[in-house]
Amino acid sequence: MGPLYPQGLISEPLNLLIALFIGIGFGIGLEAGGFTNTRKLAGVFYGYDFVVLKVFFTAALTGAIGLFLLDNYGLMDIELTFYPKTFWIPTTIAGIIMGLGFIIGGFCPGTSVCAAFTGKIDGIYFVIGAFIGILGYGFTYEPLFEKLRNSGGLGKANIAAELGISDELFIFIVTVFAVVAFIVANKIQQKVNSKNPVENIEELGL
Amino acid sequence: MRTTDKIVIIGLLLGSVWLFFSGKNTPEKGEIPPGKLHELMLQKHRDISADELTERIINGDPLLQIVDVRDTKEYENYTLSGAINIPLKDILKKDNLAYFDQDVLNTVIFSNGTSDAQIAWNILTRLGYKNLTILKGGLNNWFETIILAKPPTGPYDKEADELYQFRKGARVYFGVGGGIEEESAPKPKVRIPIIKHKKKEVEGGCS
Repeated sequence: MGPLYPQGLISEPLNLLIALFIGIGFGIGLEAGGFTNTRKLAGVFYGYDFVVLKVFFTAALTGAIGLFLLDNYGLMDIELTFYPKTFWIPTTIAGIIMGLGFIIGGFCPGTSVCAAFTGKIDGIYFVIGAFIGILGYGFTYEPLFEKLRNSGGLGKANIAAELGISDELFIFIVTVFAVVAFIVANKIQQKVNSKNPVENIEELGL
Repeated sequence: MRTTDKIVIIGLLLGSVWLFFSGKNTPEKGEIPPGKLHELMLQKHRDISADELTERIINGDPLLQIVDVRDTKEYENYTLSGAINIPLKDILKKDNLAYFDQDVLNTVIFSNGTSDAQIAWNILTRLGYKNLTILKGGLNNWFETIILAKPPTGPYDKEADELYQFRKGARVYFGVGGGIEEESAPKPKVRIPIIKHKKKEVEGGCS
């Protein structure tokens, strides 16, 4: 049955309309979860709030489990879903840059836009900075970045296939890893907050 | 630990266990189910005609990859310009599969007739490789259509005449002027396709 758009089951305008509503829902979810607050986001790096780690792990695993279940029951052809190719060198460099941006700015791209639209000045500056970066990259892509961008190509890399295990077993292993990460994160959070109590950030009105 | 954390952990674990067991009923990893294979086999663009392939060879189509699945001896004796040789018996070798593990080039498979090319197409399609076509009628039909092209008979037909002129021109391209002199044609350099990292094990996973 799915995915709907690549098989021509829905038109492009309808596809974009659905994406718009999902985007609005995502934004509401981020704001409701406190993700437009830089302190909550940066907390994962300081050890006093691991909600980002938990949400990212939960979202990725929910998506993976859901997609593969739909595929296994014939409701989704996973071969038709977008599968980006891996370029390990630029991905590693970009990951470091994004991690630094996350620590320094306290936002990731999605949360910064949400924060900007809720009127947070730091969010607005972050979005302006991101746009300057996007334009700078775009205009200097050919002379500066093209070679780097195409380096370290691994094609459509799949860890499960490389390990010679099924996707289902791989997802189960990642789930167990996530559960351990949840428990360890909670312990670290309790330890950090007992030594240096941080006020409940929601009560700070930020 | 908060209640929501516990609910999330239990939910994820149950979901992943469900997924793990549901995977046992699916076809072997990477293989295409019979229904889908049937659908692909009936697609019109699965075959390419001798004229269309010839035109693409002459035009130097950069997206064309031609695979000769006959024996090496037959390949060395005569093959199509730019064709690479992957004998049918060696098609599942890791290095050979790398030629098909890409989604940029259109791969045309041929043998003397169509049965060996059809077998290769079936194997490769079941393994999930895309953009595969078969030369209609095989090399025998191609030779008869292009190299042994006969002038149109009957009343003058512009289209038939143009097609004949094209075939005559193609004959020269393939090094066959007045007679059959295929050996005199310089063999174009074999195009090296984009070889990407191996996508999946041939034997499939254990799902």
